[in-house]
Amino acid sequence: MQRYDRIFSLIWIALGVFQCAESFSLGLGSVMEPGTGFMPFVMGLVLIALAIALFLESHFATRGTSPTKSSPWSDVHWKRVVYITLIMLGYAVLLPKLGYLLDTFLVMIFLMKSGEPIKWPTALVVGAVTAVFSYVLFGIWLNVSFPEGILSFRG
Amino acid sequence: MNRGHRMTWIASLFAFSLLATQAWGAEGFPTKPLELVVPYAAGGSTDVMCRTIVARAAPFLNNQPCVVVNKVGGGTVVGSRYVLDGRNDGYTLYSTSTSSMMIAPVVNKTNFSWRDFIGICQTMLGSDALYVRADAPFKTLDQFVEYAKQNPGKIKYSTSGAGGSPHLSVEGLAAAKGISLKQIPTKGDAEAVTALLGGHVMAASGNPIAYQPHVDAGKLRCLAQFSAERDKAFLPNIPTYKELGVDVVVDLWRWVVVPKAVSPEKIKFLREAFTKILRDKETLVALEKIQCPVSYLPGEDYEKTMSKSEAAIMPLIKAAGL
Amino acid sequence: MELLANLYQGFQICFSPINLLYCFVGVLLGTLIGVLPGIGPGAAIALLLPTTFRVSPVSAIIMLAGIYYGAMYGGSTTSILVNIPGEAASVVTCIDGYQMARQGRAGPALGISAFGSFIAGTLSVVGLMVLAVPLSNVALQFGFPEYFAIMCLGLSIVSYLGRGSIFKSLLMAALGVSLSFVGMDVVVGKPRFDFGLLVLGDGVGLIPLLMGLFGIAEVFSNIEEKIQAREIFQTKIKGLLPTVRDWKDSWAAITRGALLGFFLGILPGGGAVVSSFVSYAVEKKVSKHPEKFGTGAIEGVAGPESANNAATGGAFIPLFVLGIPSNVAMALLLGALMIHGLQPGPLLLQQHPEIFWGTVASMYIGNVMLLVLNLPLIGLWVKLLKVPYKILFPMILLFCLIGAYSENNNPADMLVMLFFGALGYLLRKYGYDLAPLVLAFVLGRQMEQAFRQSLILSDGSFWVFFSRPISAVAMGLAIFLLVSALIPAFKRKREKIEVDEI
Repeated sequence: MQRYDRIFSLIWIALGVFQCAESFSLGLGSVMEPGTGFMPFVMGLVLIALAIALFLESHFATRGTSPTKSSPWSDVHWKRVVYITLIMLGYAVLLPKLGYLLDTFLVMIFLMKSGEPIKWPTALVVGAVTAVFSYVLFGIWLNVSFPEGILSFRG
Repeated sequence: MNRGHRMTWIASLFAFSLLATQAWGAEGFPTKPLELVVPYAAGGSTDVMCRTIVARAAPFLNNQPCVVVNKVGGGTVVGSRYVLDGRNDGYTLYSTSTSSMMIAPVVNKTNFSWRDFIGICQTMLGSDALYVRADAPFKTLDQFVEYAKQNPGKIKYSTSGAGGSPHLSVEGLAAAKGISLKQIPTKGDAEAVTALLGGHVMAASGNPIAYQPHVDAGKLRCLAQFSAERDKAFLPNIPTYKELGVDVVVDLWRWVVVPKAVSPEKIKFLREAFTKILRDKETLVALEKIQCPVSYLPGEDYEKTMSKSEAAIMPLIKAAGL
Repeated sequence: MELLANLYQGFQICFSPINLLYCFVGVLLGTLIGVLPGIGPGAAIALLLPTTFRVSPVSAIIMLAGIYYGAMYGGSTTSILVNIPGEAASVVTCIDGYQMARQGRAGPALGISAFGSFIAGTLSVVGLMVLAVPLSNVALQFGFPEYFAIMCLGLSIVSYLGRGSIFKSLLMAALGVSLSFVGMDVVVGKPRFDFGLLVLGDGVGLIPLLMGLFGIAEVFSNIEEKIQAREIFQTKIKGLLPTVRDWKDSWAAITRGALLGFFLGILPGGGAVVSSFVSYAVEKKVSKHPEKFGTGAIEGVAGPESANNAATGGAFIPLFVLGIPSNVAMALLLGALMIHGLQPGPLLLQQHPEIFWGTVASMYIGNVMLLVLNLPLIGLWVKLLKVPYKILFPMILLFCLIGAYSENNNPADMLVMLFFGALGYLLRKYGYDLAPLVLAFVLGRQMEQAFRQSLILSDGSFWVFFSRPISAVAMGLAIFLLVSALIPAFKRKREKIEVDEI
């Protein structure tokens, strides 16, 4: 974990530097009359300082620690996470075009299929039921206004 | 069939029936519910007023309901963009005000302006006002200005937000009288009032609705209002800037508008409908109750009102350095 | 005593069938809304506002208020069961509540949460009743420097929230503060850090951030596991109610939480959220076994859940006494009062005392109703845990997606949530605690605003923070807390002792 801490420290330092630069371009104002970029600049400096402290902390603590997992990425289904992310991305993008019911129905099926194995009939039923129930709960009872997309009900 | 196949059948039927229930609407306008977009959060004065107006609007809109939709963000820019980027089919109306139509586009350097919309009707005309504590050393606007002249930079006033109309109105006063006042912006009228009540600032500027209860309780005093003429409903006894010799006018109007691209027949229909809505007895009574009395102007007066407003506001925006 | 006479009158008003019904409907809806992640009482209140047009003002306020404090009961449910907070005020409940659920103790966790909420809720109504007017005067004494100092104090307790390296917790806090700067700069009125994205124009939304960091990231962490460890803990549910031992451990936490929550709830801006975090930190600090926090210490559930309910009572004080709303739900209640032709403000108590006393009485009754409602529901919720995860997780994700969407009806908020989901997932993998980020995010913007407002007020003098009594005390305390948390870290480095295992 120490190695990752040190790598992350560098990332944080980079982020801090970026933040300081952006804040600077927004205008710092003076200490007496802080401008838009003042606090973000200070926070950027804080980020850098803390990152350095983290780096030093992990550097000095190398002795006497038992090795944890060789990598947080070994032995996990990380690809599932990627699939699910892409599916949800698709949901958000297609929502205005497909409308709530269809989009939700599809996304439920895709999500279920990307997890542990599941039979098609179960998936279809759960997907349809969830889509309808959630539409009633959120769209009708709670009056959240969903896009209608290609399925227009009202009229 | 076995159980698995039957489930698949049912589900497919279900899916098909969803697709099949596409309704092709009847002729006429409107044939489905309309939206009235409010660029502020639910519960605010604009939101409450709009909800009251649309509550009884259906009979005048071909029996279609009109629903308030809140599109908050970007200082009203999100709401404006939503309406302009929409379908221009006349089903999306927009409740705008001086802040969202005149000030926000300039301050945020957007690529739209009031000229991209066309007016359905004016719903309200009001004014912000300037308030001080009842125990302050100044009891009139002149005394206030005197004090500011003798103590430059000492008077701090709170507003509901930088770049808003109360801010511009007070900066206009400062420019006209050659005094220096310092604004402390807050996130809303509630915070501005609290700051004044607690004595942390010496003056405050904002919507009378938030301040009036405290004036009635004797804690605050109103020095002036900013509109061209006295707001008869709210501040009948408070002099306007003009009356007190300050050449600054900030009228706060609220209009219902639609994007310019909407067809003329629909615009005509909406204008007639809203004229009737704003004459409906029950609606008027309800609006009185929430202290938003109607100040109606027909849609045809849109360009005139907007141009006048723009001419008055632009110099103030520049004076405030925005 | 005049107080009791007024209260009696309030109960008389409240016990009419209509008002009892409205009270029940309000708290029931509130609980259900609270369980749904992302959708808060604000949405429900806005929705039901029109239905109150035709009833008396008292009935309307009774119901709408019920939604508000009822929602605070439901928020802990998902925190405990699936490690996903129902709202920002339930984030800390996840830390120990979920661990308790993993040990088969979901029932006691939910139970102590309900009981604590009841006790604290009731105590805060007493406080509201007795202390409303004097406390509102005190609240007015809080100016911009005082707010800044309180925010700093709130931020300084992040050092007590995390497990492991304090620098990591502080880094998360710094990140949270930085994220809160995205959006409109209130002092100047111009947008910043929005990278040209309209969805960020008003800042990163709290709901997408919360749903992403905790909801989506949590599902990700579970989905990637190869061995289905979840099945194992579902089967051993030990008992549904807190034991005597649990009560012994919790009663002090509940009392402290109630006091903290009530007083912090009076101050505008995140009263319930901040009080839950502060309560957690306080409990961890005064506990005789602080190392148990994070592994299922019941005080870590009892304290914060009591605090956030007590905060709802405190939040009513500025509304009723001054007509000033301290959060979104209160603003909607203000609107409701106006729709009924009542002018909220200092005169409301004098001209319409029945509004205040009727509502106060209804809050006592409402809290009882909520307790009676929530206890049997525990059994129901626990059964939900038995649903196979492969069906449960898509639903959780869907609810998160809807929750993120519903605030502004904007699909782009879902994308923001996904971004934070990925971020939260990665941060968890590498050993970062996310709770400090949330607290810092909630406080960050307000802190900066108060800072700049104070400097305008003082014409640029920093002395303003230390020359006023309240802010001086708060600043001193904040500095003390931060320094005392950092010293061990430096000492450890110098002595080169083994670092905590992550």
